[in-house]
Amino acid sequence: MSADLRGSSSDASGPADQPRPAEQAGPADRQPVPPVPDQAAGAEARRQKYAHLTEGSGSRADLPARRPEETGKMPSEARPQEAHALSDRRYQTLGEYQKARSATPPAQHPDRPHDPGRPQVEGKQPGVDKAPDAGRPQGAEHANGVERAGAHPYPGGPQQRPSDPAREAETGKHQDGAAITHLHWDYQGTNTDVYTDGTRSAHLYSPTGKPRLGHLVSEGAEPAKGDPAALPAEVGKYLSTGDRQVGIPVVGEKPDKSPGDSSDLPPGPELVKMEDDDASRMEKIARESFTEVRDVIDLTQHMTETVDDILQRPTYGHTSVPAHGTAYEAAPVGGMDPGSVASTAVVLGVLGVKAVQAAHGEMTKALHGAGTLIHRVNDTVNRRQDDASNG
Amino acid sequence: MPVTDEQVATLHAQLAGRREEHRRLLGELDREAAQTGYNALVTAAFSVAVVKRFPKDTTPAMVIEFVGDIRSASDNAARQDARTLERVLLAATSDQDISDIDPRIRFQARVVLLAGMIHDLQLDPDGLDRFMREARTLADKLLA
Repeated sequence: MSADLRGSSSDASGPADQPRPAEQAGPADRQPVPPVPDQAAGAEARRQKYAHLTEGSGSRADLPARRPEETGKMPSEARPQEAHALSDRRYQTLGEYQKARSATPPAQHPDRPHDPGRPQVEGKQPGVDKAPDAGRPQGAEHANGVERAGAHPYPGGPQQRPSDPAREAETGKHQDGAAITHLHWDYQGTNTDVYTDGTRSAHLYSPTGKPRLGHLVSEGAEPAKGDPAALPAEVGKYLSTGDRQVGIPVVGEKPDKSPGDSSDLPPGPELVKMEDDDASRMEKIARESFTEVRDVIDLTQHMTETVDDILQRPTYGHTSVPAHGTAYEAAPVGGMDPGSVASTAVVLGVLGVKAVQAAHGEMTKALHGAGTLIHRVNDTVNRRQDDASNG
Repeated sequence: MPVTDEQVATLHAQLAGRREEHRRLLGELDREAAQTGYNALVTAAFSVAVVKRFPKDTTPAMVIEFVGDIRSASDNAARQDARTLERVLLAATSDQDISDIDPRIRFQARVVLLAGMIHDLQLDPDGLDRFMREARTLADKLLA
């Protein structure tokens, strides 16, 4: 789209405010254009001319916004005629504009069926960008328009288009010959511009007017589950976006084989034949092996222990070796944990201090007691010496 | 004379690993009837087990491996002659002639091989019941 826009916008050097004859529009699919109003005249004159439409409010901005369900149309297509009426000085009222539009069938793309509910495509001159607000009443809630021609999406022209090496080779018109379609609408103060070259546009503006989903299913074939063509027509039309095929997301992949598929199993008669083969083989072995044997019970009793050993042996393919001797015990890992050493040292230190304190107390008590005893003994000795000296 | 219920119960008890029951039932069997009935039942059970355990294209290497596995079960099993066991089994899978082997030795070899195949088949109780019914049917055909 960008390459087409760049190529078609090569005419952007022309004056933007000069109306051009329709034959200069170039491609055949461009529409005959009614005279473009002098956009330079601006909004003031137009606002005065259509003042009766906003009678009592002074501005359409003051009118309550119409909801889509009131008009029966989506916002993007509900007001185009009204917007054109407002932007066309030839019509005094909206009714006159609608009457003139209904009397004159609009020119349309040869491949595209006419859709009365669709905004009409106007053949905007190449290089004449919309300058949408210049030709519209200021503050309009809805001012929708569709223009087709080489309108460039980048305001500065192709020089300001982001560099895209993959598209450098694409110049001029689109390979399908489709022109650029520019859609513009204002809704509650928000301007929206959509540029499309027609081939990657939505179905409503597709040059062929056909959903591309039909290519996925051959004529008369029943669409498979998960195929976009299996969608209802309206949903398919919605999902159809021109060259791009939008499918229905399917969770997981289809299994290679149905769970109930028995194609890789032998058929019933073959299974019966296999059963018959086994039975005949058993009977053949038995008849060749069977011979009368005496002392069967004694021979069986002699083999009883061996048979028990065989029946109780480990399962085939899972040999185990019985362990003999003492069970393996893991040896303790050598060395000590530094944390344990530190905590042990702290505990031992505390215990040592306590022991020293206890010993000191006991020693003090003992010494105190001994001192007291010595003192008493001395007193006694001194008293006796005094008594002896006195007596 | 068809195979009796007692003979079937005796072999069933042995293959199910119920040693004491097997010895008791074996001691209660009629020795004359056992020469044909119990012998036919063991031979039929051996044939059914061979078909279930070994396919038609069984190679001698598979037989040798199987016999070696059996003989590794215990010292009693290791005392069994490996060549005799292999020939008896190969006779069932590939029509090898074993007429030179004593019928008593052949019978004992079939009992040992039958135990090994039942062990490998890992039959549950229902499977062992179906196996015994199949063997009894075949044994009755032999005795008919």
